[in-house]
Parts: sequence; structure tokens; C-alpha cells
Amino acid sequence: MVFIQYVINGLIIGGAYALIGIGLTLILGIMKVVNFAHGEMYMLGAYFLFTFFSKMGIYFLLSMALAILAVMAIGWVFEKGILKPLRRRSIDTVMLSMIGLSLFMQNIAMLIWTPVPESIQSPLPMTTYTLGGLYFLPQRILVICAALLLVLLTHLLLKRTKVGKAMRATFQDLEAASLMGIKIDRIYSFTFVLGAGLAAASGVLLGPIFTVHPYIGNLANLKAFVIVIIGGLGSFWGAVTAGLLLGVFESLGAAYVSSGYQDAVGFILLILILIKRPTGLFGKVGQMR
Amino acid sequence: MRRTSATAALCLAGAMVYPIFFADPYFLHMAILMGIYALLAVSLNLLLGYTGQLSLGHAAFFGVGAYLSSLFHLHLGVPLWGGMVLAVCGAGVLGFFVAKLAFKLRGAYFVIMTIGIAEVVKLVALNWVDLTKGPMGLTDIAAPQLSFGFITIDFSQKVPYYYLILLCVVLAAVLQHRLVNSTLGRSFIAIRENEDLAESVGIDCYKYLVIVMVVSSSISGIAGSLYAHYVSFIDPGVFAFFISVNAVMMAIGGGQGTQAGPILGAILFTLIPEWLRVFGDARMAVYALIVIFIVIFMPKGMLYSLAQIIQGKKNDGR
Repeated sequence: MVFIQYVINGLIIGGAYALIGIGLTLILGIMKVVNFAHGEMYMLGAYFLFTFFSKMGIYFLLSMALAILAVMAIGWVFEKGILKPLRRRSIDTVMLSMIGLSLFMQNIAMLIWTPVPESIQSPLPMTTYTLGGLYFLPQRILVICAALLLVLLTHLLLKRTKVGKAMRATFQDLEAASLMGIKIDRIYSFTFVLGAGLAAASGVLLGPIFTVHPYIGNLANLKAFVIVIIGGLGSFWGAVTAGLLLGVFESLGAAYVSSGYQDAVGFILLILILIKRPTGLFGKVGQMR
Repeated sequence: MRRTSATAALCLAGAMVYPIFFADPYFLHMAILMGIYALLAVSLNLLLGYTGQLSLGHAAFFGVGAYLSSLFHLHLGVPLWGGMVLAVCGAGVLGFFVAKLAFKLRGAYFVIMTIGIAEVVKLVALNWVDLTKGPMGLTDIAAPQLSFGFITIDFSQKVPYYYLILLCVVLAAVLQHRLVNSTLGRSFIAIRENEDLAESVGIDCYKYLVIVMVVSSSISGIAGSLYAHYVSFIDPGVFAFFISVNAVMMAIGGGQGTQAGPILGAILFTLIPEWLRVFGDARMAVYALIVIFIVIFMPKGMLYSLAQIIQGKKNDGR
């Protein structure tokens, strides 16, 4: 029973991991941008929730939505201001610029919110619900429900809408898509803003569970990359599966091995998987470089 | 070629007499840090500049060099110099395994792999409390001594340490020079320019990449070991991602794929954060902006950009 509890706890955190992973896999797959500032969107999401909800006292769910929208706006500014002028530059140049940007945002966050870790007190009741011997906290139920909802919405967006179709076309073949009249620039902006929003959603959901400090983006970013690589580049369901998997393995690793090594689980998983399958679990050969 | 060697000799002479003119402990301290970073930048340059593989995990080798060097002495009582040599070997061995694993991948995936491995090593240093004292770090790391019977050089003093570092930087630069101008070095460059083509003319890319990683990680290990014995206190902060980023910035900012570039980069990027102290708390944010600026506008490094400006040519970037 305890084992199942750990698995469920892992799935809940994994749901939020899936969100940040989807965002990164879309940006990397469609825009070919190795976005090292992705974790900072997660960090900003959590901090905006802290400001809107804990400081300004705006209604919790509204604060969440506002935080995500604010990060999306920031994502849009970065896309237009930094990524657009760098479209034709090498992938390494863009990657290093994003590392610089991530460093910049961390330090700005430190100036605004100080390096002291903050915690967001969820307004949801702290009483646990029991169901068949398993325990559920309302905040965690919110996390998994919201994460599943957002995954589903993103899936529908990609599959059912025109912009989603254009995104998939751009992922498959940039030139052909552009010849068919797809405005690549707009698709890129849309992708980046969507990715930033998903990372922010992840931060907003996990913010009340973990503490918030200016450097949480680092680890979040690395985990997002682990998810993208395990899931296979550009693979939507790969990212979802890898996110959930990472959450579960972390939870089990913390419970049965050592909580200190919880954050190493993802990398060890990654190393083991890459030895056997360099293209990730769901990736196809030829997507690697 | 002759002018280059003359310039190198002049720079070396300048470095030799530096402590005479800048005896102030602060200037010596800065120079020692520059030297340590120069080793790190040279090590990264071999990998990034000559084979084109970007590693953002070199803090792992730096940290392992620092920790092993201290631990061999503190726990096992190995003589300091011996411990330092063993630490460098340890970093090299780690580099070997990292290379074996990570060079199955290229590009962004390789980068993530190096970061991931560095992160795992950091977590080991944080959590293996019995050995490393975890977040508390290791204290009282002694500085080595050198005894010639009647005269003893005490490297806990800044001036002798400065010369020790200088010696190591010169050796690393010479090693880099010899390596780059050998058949091996030409293979490295071939891999950088076009790996498939290199493979087609009979270069075993995987093998050569492993070799360069071992050399590179060993040099980073030396840097780490020298750092530990200089500051006499280390904690898991020596594995920080920022150190890896800084090393990359030094190699790129100075000029990757050139021999003098990383050393120049190390000097500049040690000084810049000091100059930025006027910005107070915003210092690192400004530093980040400079990093972005250099990456975007000087992708071939300051050395190259300066030469371009002097020659009056337009820098078309890459």
C-alpha cells in the first residue's frame, strides 16, 4: 500500500513535470532552440503566483492564471527581442545566449524577490482525504487535475486547430511548411509563448508544494531536458510519459534509496536509457543531431 | 610564427616579473585566480575550440580534482604532491568514463549529458557526508611545500603559489601547442569541421574524442586541485553549473580554437566581475548581459573582434 502511495505521489509531481517537458520539447523540436531559459519560466511562474496570491491577496485560481499569462507575455518579449534576431545563427550561439538569459533572469529574480526561499501557503484545506487506504492532499489533487487538463488542452490544440496543424507541419519540414504559406515566424512566436506558458503552469502548480527561490529554475530546466531526451525529441506523448515516469522514479528513489539523491534519479535514468537507446524511448532514429 | 613566439615570450616575461610590480595581496590573488581559470579555459578550449564539442559539465572535473586532492591528504595521509597527482588522474579517469558515455551523443544532447553527469557528481559530494562532510565542506586543506635540503619553499605564501600556477599554465599552454600542431590535433580539427568527412578518411572520431576529453578533464582536475590547496576550503560549490558556464565563456570570449584566446578570456572574465562591483547587487545581472553580448556579437572571441576592428574590416560574425 505504501508503495502505491509513493507511485501516486510520483505521478502527481510527474504531471507537472510533463507540462514543463512538453513546453521544452515543442520549443526544441519546432524552433530548434536549446532553451536553457525554460526553467526560468518555471521559476517566474512560481514567483508571480507568490506575488499575486501571497502578497497581493488575489483569489488563488485567478492568481494562477494571471501568473501564467504574465510569464507568457515575458516569453513573447524574449522571443521577439532575442530569439527572432538570432534566427539564422548557429544552434550553439542561440543556446549560449539562452544560458546568458537564464543567468540574467535568475539574478533579476534575486534582486526583486531576494535570495531567501519563500513558501506559498495553498488556501486549499490541509486535511487529507483517504480513499482505500491512500492519502490525498487537496493541493496535490489540484496539481494532477490541472496538469492532465492542460496536457489534454495542448494535445487538442496540436491536433485539432489550424495553428496546431501548422506547428506540426513546421516540425516535420520547415521549408515545405513555409512553401504552403505557413508564417514560420508566427508559428515560432506562438510555440515559444505556449512553451513558456506550460513551464509557468508547472511552476504555478508545484510552487505551493516546494519552496520558491531564484535558482529553482536550474534543476527544473535540467529535469525538463531529461524528460525531452527520454521522451524523444518533439514527441508529445513521449514527454508526457517521461514526465510521469520521472516523477514516479524520483518518488521511489527518495523513498527506498535516499532522499538526498532524489534529484539524481532523472540523470541516472537518462544515462541508463541512453546507453540502450540513444534516441530516447519514443524517438526515431535520425532525430538525434 | 616568429612574431607569435616573440609575443608569447614577452607575455611570459611580463608574467614572471608581475609579483615584483604588483606585490599587493589583492593583485596576487587575482593573478592566481586568473591562472586557475586559465587552466580551466585551456582545458575547455581543447574540447570546444578544437573538436567542436561543447561541454557544460567541466565543473565536475574541476570539483573532483579539488575534492580528491584534499581527501587523499586529509583522510589517507597521502603526501600532498602525490595526492595532487592522484587527483588529476582521478579527474582523467572520470573524463574517460564521461566521454565513453556522452560521446554516443552530439550537439544539444551531449551538452545535457555533460551537465547531467556534473549534477550527479555534485549530489554525491553533497550526500556522501561521511567522506565529504556534505554541504559543510572540507576545511584546513594544507598548501604543499617543496624542500631542497637547506631551502624550503612554502606554497601557503601567495608569491610562491603564483609561480606554481604560472608554471602549470605554461605547461598546459605548451601541451596545448604541441597537441594542436600534431597529427592528433589535425584530426581534432577535422572532427570539428566535418565529422562524417573525418570518419570517411579513416579518423576514428569516437576514439579521438575520448582522448581529447581525458586530456581536457585532467587539466581541469589540475585547476581544481590547485584551487583547493590555494583557498584551503572547499564545499560542493566547486561543482556549480556557473563554473562550467564561466569556463565556456572564457574559452569563447577569448577566442575558441586559438591558443592564446582562452588565457586572455580567463584574464578578462576574472577581471570583469571585479569591475562590475560598482553595480552592487545587480553585478551578476550585468555580467549576464555581457555574456549575452559577447555570445551574439563576438562569437569568435574578443581577440578576433579586436583584430577585425584594428584592420578595419567588418565583423560579419558566424
